[in-house]
Amino acid sequence: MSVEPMKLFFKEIKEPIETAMIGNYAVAGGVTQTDPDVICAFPITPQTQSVEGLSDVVHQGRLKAAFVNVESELAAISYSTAACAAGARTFTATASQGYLLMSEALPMAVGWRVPLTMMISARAFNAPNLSIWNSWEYVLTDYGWNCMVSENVQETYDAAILSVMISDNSLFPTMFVHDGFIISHSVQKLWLIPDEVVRRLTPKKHRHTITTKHPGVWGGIVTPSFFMEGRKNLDEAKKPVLNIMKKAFEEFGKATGRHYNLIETYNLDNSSRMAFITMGSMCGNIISWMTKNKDIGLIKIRAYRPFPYEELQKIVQEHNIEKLIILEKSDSLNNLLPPFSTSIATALYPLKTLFRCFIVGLGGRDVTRDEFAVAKKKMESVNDMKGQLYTYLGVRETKNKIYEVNR
Amino acid sequence: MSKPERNVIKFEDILARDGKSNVLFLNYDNEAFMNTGIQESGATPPHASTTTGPGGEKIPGKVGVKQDLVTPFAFYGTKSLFLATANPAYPADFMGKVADALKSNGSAFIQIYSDCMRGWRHSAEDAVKISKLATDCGYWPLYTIRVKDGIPTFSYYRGLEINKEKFIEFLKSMGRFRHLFKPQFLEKEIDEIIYYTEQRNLKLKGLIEQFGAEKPIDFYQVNRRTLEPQTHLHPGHGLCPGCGAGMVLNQMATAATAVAGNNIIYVNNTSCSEVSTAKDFVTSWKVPWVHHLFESGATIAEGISTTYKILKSKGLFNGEVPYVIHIAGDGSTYDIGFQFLKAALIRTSSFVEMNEYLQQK
Repeated sequence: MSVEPMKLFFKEIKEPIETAMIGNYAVAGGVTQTDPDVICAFPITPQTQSVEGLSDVVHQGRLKAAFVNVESELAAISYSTAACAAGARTFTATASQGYLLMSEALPMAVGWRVPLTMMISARAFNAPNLSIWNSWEYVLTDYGWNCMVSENVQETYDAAILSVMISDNSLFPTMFVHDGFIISHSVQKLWLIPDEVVRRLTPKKHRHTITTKHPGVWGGIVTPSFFMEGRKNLDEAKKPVLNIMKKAFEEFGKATGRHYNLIETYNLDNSSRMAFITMGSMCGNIISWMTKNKDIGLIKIRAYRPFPYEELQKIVQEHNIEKLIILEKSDSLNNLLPPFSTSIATALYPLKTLFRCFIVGLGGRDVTRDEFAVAKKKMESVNDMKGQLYTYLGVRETKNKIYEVNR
Repeated sequence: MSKPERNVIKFEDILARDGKSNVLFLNYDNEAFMNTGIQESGATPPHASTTTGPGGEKIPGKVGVKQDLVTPFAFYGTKSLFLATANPAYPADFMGKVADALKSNGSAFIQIYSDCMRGWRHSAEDAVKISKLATDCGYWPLYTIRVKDGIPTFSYYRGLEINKEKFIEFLKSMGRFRHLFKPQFLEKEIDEIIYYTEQRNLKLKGLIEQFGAEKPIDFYQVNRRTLEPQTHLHPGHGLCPGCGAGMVLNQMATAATAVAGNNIIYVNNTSCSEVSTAKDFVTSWKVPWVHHLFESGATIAEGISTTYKILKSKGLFNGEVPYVIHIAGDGSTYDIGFQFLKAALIRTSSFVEMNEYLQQK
């Protein structure tokens, strides 16, 4: 073995093991345990160690799989889609520009209903400059993939296994996201699941594949007489997916003792009737800030796609939340709100909950506790939904002064 | 100089061989983006008129050259590769090459001359005549390159000599070159087409001299009366009358049926052959057929082939690994799909080896 952190995965894991490693290796390990048949990816920072770890377990003979290095991300997603359609359990991984380059083939994976899984180490896309650090590029496009967002290394390791369960049961491709560098490259504590448990959670099931036994056509042309039916069928097929995710979380919780939900909440019954709403690595920081700021809650979206709008409405209603502070690591130059906030705004529309969007942490900038305080303070004076609904927080005003944050 | 010797390759002998290709990549070359309406591509010959490079009064058609797609693949240093050009006007040669490619280890690429009467502006009944003329005048030489452990071996069938008279007749027979003859005879432009063709043929001859097989002339002997009708494609499809791609598909399927029976999967790039063989709920294909994107077919074909092999070595698939043929055309190999074709071709040419590693206990 040449990749040191992967050594744990070379032996049969019989008991839950407590260890520490970076997010990407944790994902490589989790994927190894699900016994993929084909792994195909193209390197892009900060995704690389996940596939490096996997190539190690393949080349050292621990995992029997085809590990294929291809010439671009568009080839990686095409290869993975084809392999998955032909019957292989398939894993791929990307980030940023790679995700954008994949765009042309992302809808086909959904249309063909392939249970493919993809890891994304969220990273900014290039404009006006190159940045290899964290932003939420994955919220830009929505072609119908399932999407799960993880807060820490433990969650992203678990997501590698959960995604296989969700993909196999829903027959839709699933991407699981962790924030680039913040999770992908930081060493954190986690518990590994015994191999036997993973095998039990992710059995290989029979499904329709490209086979000479049942000749058929995949992806031929259709005229205007039939195209809409295909789209409507996909829409119908997507409806049960949130329940499938819930069931996967339940089953996973029973087997491992780690319980997840579509949306997770903290301290919602507080005096201010306000809550932050966000996803990913920021949540941990908010919770630690909340130990000294107890009059505010947090809503963490774990299942981003399909968007669990009914659950969100229920939570907001049950806890009488009046104001929501959306923290988002992406912006929109044209829309009223950036993409994540748009989904939330749509869900909140019938409830008339007040909210503002704060754009934070673009291109890997630290989201500081001062910023949570500023956002909260600003929100306290909001009493309507008029004017611009988003603000950039933590932007440099002059060389030494960060806009609206006291240092 | 003594006459070069002929290497007779019998179809029955090919069928009796043990080898098996990972993927056979086919490019039917109709020299423009025909499926979108005759737009210029890297395959378009110099001065041919297209809808995005018309033969105008100031600029007479395409400015540039027709890329040589096949020969460079011989020099990527691959492990095991079968490369060839073909022409459906010489069906025995083409069918022999398809069978030979499918029965060769590693991977294979065949570039096929494919008449397009709509795009080349001539009447449908002239399709075979013009196709035959293309090889006879030296425009479309038929040759084969077998790469083994990095070393290419060149052989040829015919079409290496330029016959200027036939070349002019060939150009004159198509409307896409009409502007070179009327209202004025554009000698310089016509000479340029012939010059570049001749240079390519000279290069080929040099390569045959340097890397030639012992018997440099390949002659495929196919007894067509003993061949079973193909079982891959129904007779009905939406291609134009006289379409070269139609001839290509039929001959390809006949050879592939003899080799693979129905244990075969086809992958098609977006192209005329794609949109006209599977539409709505009607398909012309009797065997599995896949279309993904304009450019990605080569990768898709490789993905399917690899999956079957890995599933077999893991014991998750018990049957015989199917043959895979990738069909492309209409600029999807020359231009948008080149990256995919090149990478998949080179990977599959050595994937046999990776598979051997995986088979080891």
